Amino acid sequence: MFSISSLEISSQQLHQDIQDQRSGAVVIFEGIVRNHNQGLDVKSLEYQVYHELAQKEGDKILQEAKLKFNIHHARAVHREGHLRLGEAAVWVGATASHRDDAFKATRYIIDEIKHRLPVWKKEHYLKAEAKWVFCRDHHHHVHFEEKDFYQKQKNILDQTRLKKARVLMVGLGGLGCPASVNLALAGVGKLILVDFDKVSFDNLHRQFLFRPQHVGESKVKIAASLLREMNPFIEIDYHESFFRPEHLEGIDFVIDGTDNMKTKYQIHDACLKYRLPLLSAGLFRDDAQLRTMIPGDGCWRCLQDVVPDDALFGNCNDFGTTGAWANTAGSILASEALELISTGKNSTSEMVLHLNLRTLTSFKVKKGRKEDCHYCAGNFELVDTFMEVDEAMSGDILDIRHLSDDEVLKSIQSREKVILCCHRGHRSLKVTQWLRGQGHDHVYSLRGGAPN
Amino acid sequence: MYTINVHYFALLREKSGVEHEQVLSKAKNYQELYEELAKKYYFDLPVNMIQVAVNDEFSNLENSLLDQAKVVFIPPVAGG
Repeated sequence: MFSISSLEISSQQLHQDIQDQRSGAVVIFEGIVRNHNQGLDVKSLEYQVYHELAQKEGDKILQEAKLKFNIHHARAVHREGHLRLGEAAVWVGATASHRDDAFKATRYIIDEIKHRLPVWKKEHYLKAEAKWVFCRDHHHHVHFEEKDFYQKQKNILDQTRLKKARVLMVGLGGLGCPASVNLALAGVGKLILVDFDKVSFDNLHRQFLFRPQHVGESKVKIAASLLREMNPFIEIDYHESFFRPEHLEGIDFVIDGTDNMKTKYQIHDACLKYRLPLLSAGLFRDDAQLRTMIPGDGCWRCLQDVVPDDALFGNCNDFGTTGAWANTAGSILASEALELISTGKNSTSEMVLHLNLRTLTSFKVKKGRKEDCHYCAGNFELVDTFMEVDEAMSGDILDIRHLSDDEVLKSIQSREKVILCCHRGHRSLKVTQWLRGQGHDHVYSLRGGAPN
Repeated sequence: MYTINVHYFALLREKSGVEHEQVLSKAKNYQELYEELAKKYYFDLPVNMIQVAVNDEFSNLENSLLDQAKVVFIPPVAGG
């Protein structure tokens, strides 16, 4: 059994785990944090482990040792987190009837762990800056510092601003995969991924973070562990859910790579409410649209106060696209985000970019701003766009002006999809919220109401 | 009669089958122009979901036509 522990290793307990009466030999190896490495005085160590892979690889190594040598039990633990001098970083133990097998198995396990486990070690020195060491290269310790990772972009991006930025990436599809990789590699200090979806087989041709064996698994989980491995210097977290305004807590920038207008408006409205810059991209086959929304500087609702009905135009699942197109658009999205974080402005903060990825033609349209837009002013109630519909949407309309709440409840139960309407759309929204709270997800409210 | 250089984007280009064309119209505003084109090409997107750019600047569908203008009708682009 192999495990990763963030707590101090208890040798005694582990010893008991592998002991039994058949065993005439126990061999234990402990790797200890020492006070020097390559001429520098070390004061402490920090280990970062790529969990999923390390666990699988560790189990495999112990299994191999059991097949190769005549042993009874084998156990290994690797530490993660911050370790002091003298603490055990790794513990390996094997029991066998005779000493030779126990010695050989223990030696095999520790050598393979050092060689194969995806573990990063950060050494803190007494008189020099901390450095990361990739443990796999322990024979010829490759030392490097975080700033070396960004060496080739140091004159281009403001690394300090990037490191401070806390970025929310919504949607880990065709746009989100390239966008998140580029943001992570560029050194965005904290990247939080949001997606409710699981990997499906027809995602794989363009969503390059995922492999066939990931089908059915959570996109954000897989993406998070890969991104952590690609850049061990940044923090990655995720929410496996639909976007919710609560996700904006502690965030500085929001990137939208989602695939439907209802969600896009939901994110847009929440960013306006919480005054956060939003970068958004959409894709229609080979056509991409990119926009940056800075609160107070013109919003989507200045021009179009109607959430377009997704059923009328479809997304990538309906009309298709290619990996090359989606990845290009997603990379431009990341480039725009890095520019905004780094300098405070970018190419799409004043213009909306429309780019055809096949003909490589583009046109930019100057953003408009409505003088008295109460959305721009942040002067509005945040409403779940999935609960409201605009006139354009077809459905069974129920005028609730002369009905009590309970009468509405009775009336909706026999219908499939029902849109409540009142004079101004306020009461219908309240009743919709109440009904949805009881699980009636087929109920919508007509936005703005129907005065006549 | 106005001469308008109409460009189509995304779904509307797919439906019309042309990237851009010159159109003669008597429409009183861009909404009417869109409706004329919708009839011609069977666009089924409601006009309130369309954005219009006139000479590379977002404009209002209620605005009067500008002769010789470059007009782009932009539908929602939602894929990801």
